[in-house]
Amino acid sequence: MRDDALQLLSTLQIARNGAEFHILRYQPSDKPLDYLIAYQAGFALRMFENPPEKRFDFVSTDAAVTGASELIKAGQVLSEQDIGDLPKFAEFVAHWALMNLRSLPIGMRIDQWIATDYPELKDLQLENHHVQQQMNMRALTYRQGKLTLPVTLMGTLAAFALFTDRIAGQARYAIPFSAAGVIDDGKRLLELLDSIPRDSTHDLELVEKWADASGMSNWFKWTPYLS
Amino acid sequence: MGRCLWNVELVQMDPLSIVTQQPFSFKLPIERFDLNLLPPHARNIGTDSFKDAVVNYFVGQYADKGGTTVVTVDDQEISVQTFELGSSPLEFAVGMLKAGQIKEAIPFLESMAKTDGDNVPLLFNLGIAYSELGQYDEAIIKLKKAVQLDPRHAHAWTGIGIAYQRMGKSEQAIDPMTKAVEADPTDGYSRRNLGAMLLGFNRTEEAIKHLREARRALPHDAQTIFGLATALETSGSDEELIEADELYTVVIQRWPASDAAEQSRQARTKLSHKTLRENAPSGLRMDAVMYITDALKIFAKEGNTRRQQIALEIALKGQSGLDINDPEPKYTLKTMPGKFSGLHLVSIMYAAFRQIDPSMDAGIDLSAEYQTASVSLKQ
Repeated sequence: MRDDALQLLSTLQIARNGAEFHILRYQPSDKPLDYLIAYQAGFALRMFENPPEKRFDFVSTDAAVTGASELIKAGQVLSEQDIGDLPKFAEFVAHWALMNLRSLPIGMRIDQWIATDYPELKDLQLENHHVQQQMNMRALTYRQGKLTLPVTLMGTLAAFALFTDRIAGQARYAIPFSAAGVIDDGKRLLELLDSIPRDSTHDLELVEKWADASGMSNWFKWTPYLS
Repeated sequence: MGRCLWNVELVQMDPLSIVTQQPFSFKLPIERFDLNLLPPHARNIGTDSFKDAVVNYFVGQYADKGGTTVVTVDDQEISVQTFELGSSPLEFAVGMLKAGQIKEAIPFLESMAKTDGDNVPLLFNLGIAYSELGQYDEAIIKLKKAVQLDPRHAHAWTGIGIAYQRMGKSEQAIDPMTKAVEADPTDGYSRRNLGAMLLGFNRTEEAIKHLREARRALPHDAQTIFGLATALETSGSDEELIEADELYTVVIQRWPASDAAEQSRQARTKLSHKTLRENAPSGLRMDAVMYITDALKIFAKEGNTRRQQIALEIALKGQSGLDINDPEPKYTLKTMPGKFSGLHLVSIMYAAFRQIDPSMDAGIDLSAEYQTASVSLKQ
């Protein structure tokens, strides 16, 4: 449904509590929505391809903020102001990192599916990737005082950059991550993506392997999906 | 496991934007750059060799992608802009300048100049940018290089002249501005700038000549018309004063909210005042004395509120200009019956202003007339 007040281009709300439909909201745009709809639908399709007992919600744990906080302050002498800002900043970082962990690897599966099965969406896909990559560049400079996003958590973005370069047949978006010294982390994650079977029954495994490789294993838990 | 802090939703896509038409760009804090990517001798952060090596690294990385890469490195951040084949980095930089991002555009332009140092439009824009930031020496160096490479670049010559002028070296500004006109006699901006400069040196006739040419080339430019009016007023013959007044009126009517219009209003008032005094050989305009006397009588009879209403209406009418040298009673007011000449209205307003607040500027000095009227009323 069109949502003029939506701040984002699109969101997908999975049907719960007896609701009959999933709701995909989209902002009015002069761009075709086909790619975004396919992309969001991909998440729903992959979730419901699994039998009910294999469907899970992704929920953060206390260890996420604690772990993020440790990474942020590692090797730094922080001012009083920074120490005061740390709890909120750590919460933000944990949320950001978990969002990437939850969305990017499965999103890449969906992107690969779109690229292979729907070549007519290729241009829109590339255009969207460009926007996403441009936005991800902000992570490299994001800071509050001395508090910055830990490089160890940027592997997911580096992997996504390598992946979008691969889809586009170029090597453009990964270069900033090479310069920032995190491209090897991205390559490891991409190797995991390629080594795990592509079907949706392995989506949880994919996320868990990425979490392991990124040091985020105890930052989240799976809880049974309640429809 | 601890309590649930939040549910992480499925990925949300931010809106597509014009970014897709923009270069791919990013910044990297210096401390985040992996020094292992640089040759050992260039790993000392902040040194010139470090900066050069960083530039070379990114240019090298993007070299086989086609297009252009522009890298700037300062003491804190590395900035990289990549342009696909067929898109123009200079256009992008000019866009930054037009958007007022002059300080941000300079390192970008300088970086381009390192690999394209003989690019005249690039040198021109760089020179103008430095001039806008008050770095005139740098501006002149860049602009002189531009005209060395392309002596027919009229705007670069003008840029040199303006930089000299801003430095307070107006005499040195005339030569490059003259060269600008020689480079392109049809260019209105070069003519306008030279005309204005010559006017500042009291070379009025030459100024008028160039400003007339400028007006021919730029018939819709308020500054040009205002400049020509000023030059004609300075020249001062009766015919030229009439023409100047007409031109000021054109500016006021066509660009009423512009600075040029405001300056034109002031110029017209000054001009009218001068003419007014020239038409009063005894030094006193008796018609104004009479108008002020009548006005003071009306104010005494009808009170302060009425006085303010009348003054306000005249002041508003005066914004579009009142012709005080035409004796024809061609103006009307809602607050007073009858028809009035321009001088009549200004005299009423002057009397009101003097009573309300003597420091208020009525745009004309009728103090002698007011004094005479006041004395005669007391008698």
